[in-house]
Amino acid sequence: MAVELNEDNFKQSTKTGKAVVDFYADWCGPCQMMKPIFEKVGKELKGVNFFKFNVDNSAEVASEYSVRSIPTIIFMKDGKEVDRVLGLMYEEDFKAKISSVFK
Amino acid sequence: MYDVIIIGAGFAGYSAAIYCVRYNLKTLVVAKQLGGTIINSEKVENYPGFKAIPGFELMQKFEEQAKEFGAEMAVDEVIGVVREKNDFKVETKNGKEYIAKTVILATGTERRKLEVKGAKEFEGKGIHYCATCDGAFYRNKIVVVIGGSNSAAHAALLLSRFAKKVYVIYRGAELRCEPVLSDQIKKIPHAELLCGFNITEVKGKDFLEKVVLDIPYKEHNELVVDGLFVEIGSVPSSVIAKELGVELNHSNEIVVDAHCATNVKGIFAAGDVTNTVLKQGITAAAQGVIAATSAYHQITGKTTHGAWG
Repeated sequence: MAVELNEDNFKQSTKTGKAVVDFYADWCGPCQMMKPIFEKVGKELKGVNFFKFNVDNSAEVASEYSVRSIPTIIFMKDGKEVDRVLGLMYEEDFKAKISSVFK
Repeated sequence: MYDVIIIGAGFAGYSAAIYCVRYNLKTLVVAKQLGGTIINSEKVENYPGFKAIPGFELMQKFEEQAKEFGAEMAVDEVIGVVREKNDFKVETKNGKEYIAKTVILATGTERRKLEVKGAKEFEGKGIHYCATCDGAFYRNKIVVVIGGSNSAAHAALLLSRFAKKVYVIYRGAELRCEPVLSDQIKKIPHAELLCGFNITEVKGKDFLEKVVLDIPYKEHNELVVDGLFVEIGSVPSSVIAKELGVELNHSNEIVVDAHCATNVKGIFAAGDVTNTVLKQGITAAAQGVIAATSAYHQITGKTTHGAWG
């Protein structure tokens, strides 16, 4: 299971290593479609941490990372954003993106 | 070898799948996006049997039902369909090839993009195509909806719950949505209707800041805005059909007859991609069912319940 982040542990959790964060909300259809794909890929891939962040829990965090569209997937390396994708991605595309971002 | 390959997984695709498997046809659904365009709808209130249901939830039910009856599903993009003797070969982006006796095209539509200076640059940074997904980021902000359809009206109504100001900009003299929706918009104190206006350019730095109008509104050519939601219709996803020699009309919709058959034997079409007079979930579902029955008819030579005697 991808770990659910909140305002307090966001920075600490993504500080080191490779991280993929799914910014989502319960009321967003494409986010709900993305959820099982995110979980599945998260289970399969080792060496990358998978997190999710509910934008309804903190407008501040969403705004700090300039998230204005969901789902937004942000790829981070040692706490710094290296890339992002807006909108729903399917398994193959998601996997390909992860390997190209963290190659 | 499949009896039927259905391309697309919206109302039409899933409904076709449910009927195909119940006709005992070996059925595969291939779609790049499960659920189709309705998954972006916050609430569907006009699909009979459901008073109000989120679009993605309704589609999950369709998917569940199709799978339970035995339809196979592949999330993949079809890049071409070619004839092979009496069958069809369906080729996908992930390099798969499937063979089927018949194909049902239920490829739906894609959103028409706003094509003005700056629009591409600010996509996701102030310019949005899904009010349900992105509307809540505009709490106490100023937003614009461009378009006059039901979708545009729904977007405006949804955004009015978050935004402090909602402009609806439409090129026509009057919104073309259902009157019940335009009446609701007119009652919202912080919504303003700008009919007879066009957007010619969008401006900003990191994020969208202004939209430029073709004629002045309250003596200004520019509106200061935080977000722009584009609802200017959709275009049929009919490229594959065209390459296969399927007849399209002047709007690039697939021309089908009352049996949802196209001019190419063995190729059927259903839903928003066709030249149907009404593009709704319920009509797409109905066409899917007709297409499935026509495919069954062609494959087995049987008729169902005296459908065509």
